[in-house]
Amino acid sequence: MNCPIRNEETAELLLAYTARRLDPAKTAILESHMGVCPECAEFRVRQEMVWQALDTWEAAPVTPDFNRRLYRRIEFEDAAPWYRRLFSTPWTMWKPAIPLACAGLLVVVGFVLDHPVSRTAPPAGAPAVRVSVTEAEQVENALDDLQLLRQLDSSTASAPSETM
Amino acid sequence: MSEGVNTSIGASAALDYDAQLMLRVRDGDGASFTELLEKHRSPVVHFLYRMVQDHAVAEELAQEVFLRVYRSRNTYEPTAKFTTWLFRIATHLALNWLRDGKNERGQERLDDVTGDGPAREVPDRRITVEQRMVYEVRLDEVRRAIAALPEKQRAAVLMHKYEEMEYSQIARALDCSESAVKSLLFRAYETLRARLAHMA
Repeated sequence: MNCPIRNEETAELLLAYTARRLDPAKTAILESHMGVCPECAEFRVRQEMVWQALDTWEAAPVTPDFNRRLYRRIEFEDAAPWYRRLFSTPWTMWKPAIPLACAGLLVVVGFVLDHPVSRTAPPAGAPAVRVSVTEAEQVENALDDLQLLRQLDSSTASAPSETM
Repeated sequence: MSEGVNTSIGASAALDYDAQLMLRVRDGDGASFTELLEKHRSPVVHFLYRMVQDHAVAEELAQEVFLRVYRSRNTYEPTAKFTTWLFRIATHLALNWLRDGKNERGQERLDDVTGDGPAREVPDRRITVEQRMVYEVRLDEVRRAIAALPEKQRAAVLMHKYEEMEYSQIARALDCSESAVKSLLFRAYETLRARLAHMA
């Protein structure tokens, strides 16, 4: 057989062997190979040393009140109002809504880009235009009134001298 | 190639049982949740402890894992093995915690020879002080070697070595392909061989 450690993909055979997860048939083949392949034999020794080193690391036991703390949190959540529970829902549950929200946003953006709001040329007939037309008429009327008053003033000023 | 590697014994039976328990939780059976908690609490806490190397943080993250499991009970679908789903949640929480930069305190704790959390039990009380010191030095070296691995390699090694998970399960938990997991493990063990092989 080919030497497994010369090939990264097949090195998993040796890893499985040292982890004792290899089936008996492949174990027998590999063991006979390691008898004649010093590289693989050394790989096995070094990997087994790693397993032994890792075995020394025992995790500390779980604290006795772990369950009690967890159930207290669950009770607190269950008693919370619906809107708080809604926000505590895992975000993954909102995942299906994300494409829909993105599509909606794209439609809104597309609509806004297609119908830009222009301040320089407001559409005719809009209330803002009507207001400005009214104002212009009022100004024009006021100017006409002023002119009439001026004419009236000048005519009344010249009238007494003529009579005298 | 991978068909030569044994799958874990009774994997399908475990899948059925845990998934059934979770489906019962969905139907409002609190006792099934307790059973799941009792069964998976220690592996999850131990995995998280070895990931973040801080016992208090590991327990806090484990609480969050089981809280998320409970919250997801109504939408749970047994599409994958329960433990794969569980460790996927645990891995994501651990990686997020590490990436949030909260690991600085954890790294500081590596310098603390006394360790943290509940007192670690010494296997044999008859061991001498010298043996105890040797044990502590070896343990510290192992912890440092694991902590020095890149986060994904670390998670892959911990799931492979301590939880005896299959490549496909690790791949699902880490959101990557099986070949990527094999590559992660190969590189991680290569690093560990270089750092730890002298210890035996």
